Amino acid sequence: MKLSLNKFIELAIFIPALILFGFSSFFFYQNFQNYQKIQKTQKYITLTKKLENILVALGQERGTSSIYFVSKGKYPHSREVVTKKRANMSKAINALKQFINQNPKYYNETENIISLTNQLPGIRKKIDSFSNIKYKEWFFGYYTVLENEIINQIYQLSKKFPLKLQALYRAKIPFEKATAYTGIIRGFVSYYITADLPLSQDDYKGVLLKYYHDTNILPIAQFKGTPVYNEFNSKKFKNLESNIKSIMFYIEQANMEYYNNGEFNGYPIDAFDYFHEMTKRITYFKKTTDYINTDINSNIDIIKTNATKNFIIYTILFFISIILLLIGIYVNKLLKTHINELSTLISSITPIITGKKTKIDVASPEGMHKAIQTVSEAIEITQEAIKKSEESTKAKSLFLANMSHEIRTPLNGILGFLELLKATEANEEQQDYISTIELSAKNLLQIVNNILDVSKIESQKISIEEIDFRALDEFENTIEIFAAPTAQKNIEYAADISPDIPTVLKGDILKIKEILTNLINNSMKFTQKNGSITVRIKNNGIKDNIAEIYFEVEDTGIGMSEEQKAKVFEAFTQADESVTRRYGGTGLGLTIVKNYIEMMNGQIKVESELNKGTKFFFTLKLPVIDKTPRYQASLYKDKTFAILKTQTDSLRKNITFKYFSYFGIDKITFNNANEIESLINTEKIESIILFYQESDKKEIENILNKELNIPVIMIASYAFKEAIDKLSPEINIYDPVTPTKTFNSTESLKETKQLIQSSKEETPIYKIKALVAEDNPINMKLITTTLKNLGVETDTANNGLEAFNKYSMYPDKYDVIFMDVQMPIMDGIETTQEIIEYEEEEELPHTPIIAVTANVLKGDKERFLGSGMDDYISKPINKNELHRVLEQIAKHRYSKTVHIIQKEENNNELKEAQETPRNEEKSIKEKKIILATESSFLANYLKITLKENFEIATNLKELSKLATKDNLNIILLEEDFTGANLEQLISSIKKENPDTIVIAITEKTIKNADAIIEDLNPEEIEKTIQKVSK
Amino acid sequence: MKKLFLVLILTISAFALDLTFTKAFNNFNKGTRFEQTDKQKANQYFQKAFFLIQQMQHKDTSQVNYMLGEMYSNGWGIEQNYQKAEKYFLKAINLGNVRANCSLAKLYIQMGKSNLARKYLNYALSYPSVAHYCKDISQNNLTIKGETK
Repeated sequence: MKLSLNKFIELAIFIPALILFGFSSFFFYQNFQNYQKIQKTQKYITLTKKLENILVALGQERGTSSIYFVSKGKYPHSREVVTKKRANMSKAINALKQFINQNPKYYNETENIISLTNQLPGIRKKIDSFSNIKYKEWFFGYYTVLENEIINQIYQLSKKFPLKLQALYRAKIPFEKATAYTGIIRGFVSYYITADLPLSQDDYKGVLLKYYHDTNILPIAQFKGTPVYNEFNSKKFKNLESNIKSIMFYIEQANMEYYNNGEFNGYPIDAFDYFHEMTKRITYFKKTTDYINTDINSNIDIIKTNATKNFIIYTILFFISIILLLIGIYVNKLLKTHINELSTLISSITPIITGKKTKIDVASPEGMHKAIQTVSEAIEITQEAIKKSEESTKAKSLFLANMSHEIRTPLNGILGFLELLKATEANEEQQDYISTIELSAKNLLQIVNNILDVSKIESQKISIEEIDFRALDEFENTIEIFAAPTAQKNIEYAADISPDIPTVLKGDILKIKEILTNLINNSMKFTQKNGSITVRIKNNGIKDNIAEIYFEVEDTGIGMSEEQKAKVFEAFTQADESVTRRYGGTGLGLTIVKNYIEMMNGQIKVESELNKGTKFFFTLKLPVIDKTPRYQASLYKDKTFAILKTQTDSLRKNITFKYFSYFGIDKITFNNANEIESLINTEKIESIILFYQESDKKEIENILNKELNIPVIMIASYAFKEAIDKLSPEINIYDPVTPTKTFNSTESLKETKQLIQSSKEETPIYKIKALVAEDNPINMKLITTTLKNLGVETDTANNGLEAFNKYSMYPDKYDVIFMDVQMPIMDGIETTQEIIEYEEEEELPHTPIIAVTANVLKGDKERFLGSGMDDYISKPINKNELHRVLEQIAKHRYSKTVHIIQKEENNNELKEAQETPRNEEKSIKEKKIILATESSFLANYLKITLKENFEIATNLKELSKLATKDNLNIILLEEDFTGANLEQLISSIKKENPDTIVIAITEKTIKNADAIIEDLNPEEIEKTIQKVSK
Repeated sequence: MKKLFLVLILTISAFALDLTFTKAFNNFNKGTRFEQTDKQKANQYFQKAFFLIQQMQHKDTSQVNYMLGEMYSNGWGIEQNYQKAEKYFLKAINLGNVRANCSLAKLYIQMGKSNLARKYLNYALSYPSVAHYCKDISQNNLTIKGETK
């Protein structure tokens, strides 16, 4: 059967619901009827009870009326008793009448009885006359008739009872009959006893014999186990029965005597006693009927309870079925709606496939089939489309990458030669043109780089590195890049960085730097003169070894509207079209920034208001490698700075004070030069802080003119460099003020103090020329100043390329090159390699290159030295280290492939290094170990394994050059050195310099060697050297 | 033979019922049996009967009054007293006792109140079952048969 889904759902829901509804209605109705039946039964029980009450009263009235009648009311108490019994009877009859009044429908059943009872008053009256009626007339003709009628009616009523109860009900009848019969005998015979008359033979047969029965004939056995049974089997009842038996026997005897002999001699029973005994008997029968009634009632109660229970259950079921039906209707509707919606949806997809809209009905089987078809076809088509678009994107990216590369190559050429051109002698006009061209070319390069980055991101070629980096240092470096440009634009530039950022974090520091650079660049672009840019980097705590670092770049620039904000991160979108025209850029920067941040599981947000400013901020979670705070809090808690009162507030001032607080530096404010003079005498002031832009210039002059012997730190923007230089404070801090600058300045206070206080102190002077390659102007200043103070002449280069150019122009000019490792254009390592290559090509003597680096992590050392650098010092520049290096240079200790290995960086080592020269000075000749080998392997090996410092000679010329007469030379002579005969070589060496100790590295026995090293066990070698040097 | 049988049964049954009246009645009957033959024994029974009657709770019944009437009338177990006998018989008759009518008629004859005697005799004779009680009385001359005037 082809059923639509809708029809099927309808059937599936409604048929069971309807069935349930039908069943529950049926049972509900049935139970209801049952319930009603029980109500009716209960009514019948009440009716029966009323009739039974009448029976009891009737028996008593009849019985007592007998004695009353025979004695004409004179029998003792008979009158009262009869009155009482009549009252009971009337009461019982009235109760019945009342019941019928309340329940008129039972009138039919009791009609006869009621009409009979209506005759009762008349009968009573006649009885009272003692003469208007004969005994048997009222005894049998009325009372007994009524009695029979009632018993009959009771029996008829039993049919109205439920089958279960009928049997129980009918069990009463024999007992009720027994009651009636006993009543008859009681009443009837007591008449004759009172009259002292024998019964007529008819009466004897028709009444006495008829109505007297032994209780044996009663169905007592069925009551086994009940109290009734126990009663009938009790001693008391058995006594009673035997008494009654005796009584009946006597009565029979008395009558029989009369019938046989004609003699009647009275009854040996007192009428009263007789009546009494018979009444007792009736009591037992009554007990039985009462018991059965109770039983019936309790049965009825049980049935009623059950029926009520069932009634409730079925009512509930009935309502549940209605609810289910309603739910069914609702669900059906819902399903129908959904199916229709589904049909509509799939119908709407059909145009994709067939081009026109066809109607599909999901409910029907064919419709479902068609729907499945439609959807799968639609998916196929969509997948095709996706594939095509992916391919086209890939092609586009590839194209972009290629084109970018093609474009970059000539661009680099342009930039490179511009650099060279700058270094040539060009006049002012030409220099101007060169600068302009350089700027354009650089911008173009940036654009191309951005395009490349974006395409890399799109083709997912970018990955996030996991490098350990010195967090604070790297951030500060990046921020510092914009110190000069912002100063040029008169923009206040502030950096609020948490000094307690963990020293080393892990992450993609290059990308973070790119992000910061991009954001600060943007801020610079869009902020006008006298605006401000604030960079905030906050340590938001470490959890599970992950540091949460918050980055923010805020400016007071032109801002953006809501619309512009919404699109700002989209590729190639700038705030509006005029932006490119006015401010330049590609519109790719922020896209790249957003992508990078998201790749690092962060999220960049922007807040901005037109003409008020913009704030970009994001948070990164970076694993912690070294959790010690970069700078300890309260590091300088014993220091106090005196600060000249400021007249204006500024970001720089607030942030500086923040850093002072962090370092625990106490601040005392003073108003003028006189005040500070007296203050110095009372307080221990470490330094005087002057905020150039915020304080009175006259006062600043006054203070600096005074010879206070306390170092002055001047804090201002780079824009005021010239003016400040004229004043020559001991230390300058230029915007942005950073924790490192604060730290460095405070650290260098000790040195500057020394400089001020003991200018007579002999400072070693190195008369050497140095080339310093450093992109950060502050660091540059620091190194150059320090070097100058040591008598070193310095030339500067702002990046690797410049350094290379300057070097290559006058290769002999410099005794040493201090090479910052991280520089733009060409970094330290590249530059070093270029220089070494150049030296090799041009066969120039090697100029030592010292790496100046903030990074000193695992692998860095090896990296620097491996790339050709001769040594390294870490930033910030430590004077002692600088001394050490300069000394080495002064003593020409560096040659092309000498690598002095520093195992530890701590001062102890340096102190040792300082000490050993002194020791050496004491001895007459300095010990010098020279390794003579052509094998770079051996050289490297010994480099690593030997504790001692040594120099390497790769040929005879070098060897003679190194083995000067003013040293005690220990030559480690390798076997195959220059292929010459070892013994001959040794003898010639010793001829030239007899003190020279030669240790041969060979397995052969060499006669004139001072020692032989057979195997390259480092301990052996050390031992040997020790031995021979004594 | 029947009489013996009856006596036996009565004797046995005398002990079956524990009712005072029944005991009194049985004693009274035994007394009437031995009245002709053994006056002494009969008196003993009558006295016992009288004694039991006094113990009865409800003495004022037709049967008791009849018994007392008989006893006083005949001097059975107690001193003969016609007045008392008359009283008791009347009482019994009031209470519906029919036999007492004959006894009272007999009494009135012995007391010489023939009119009353006739009245009660007629009344008694209206009950055929009682007639034999009055068989002692000759209806014509109102004398008690077997008794010399």
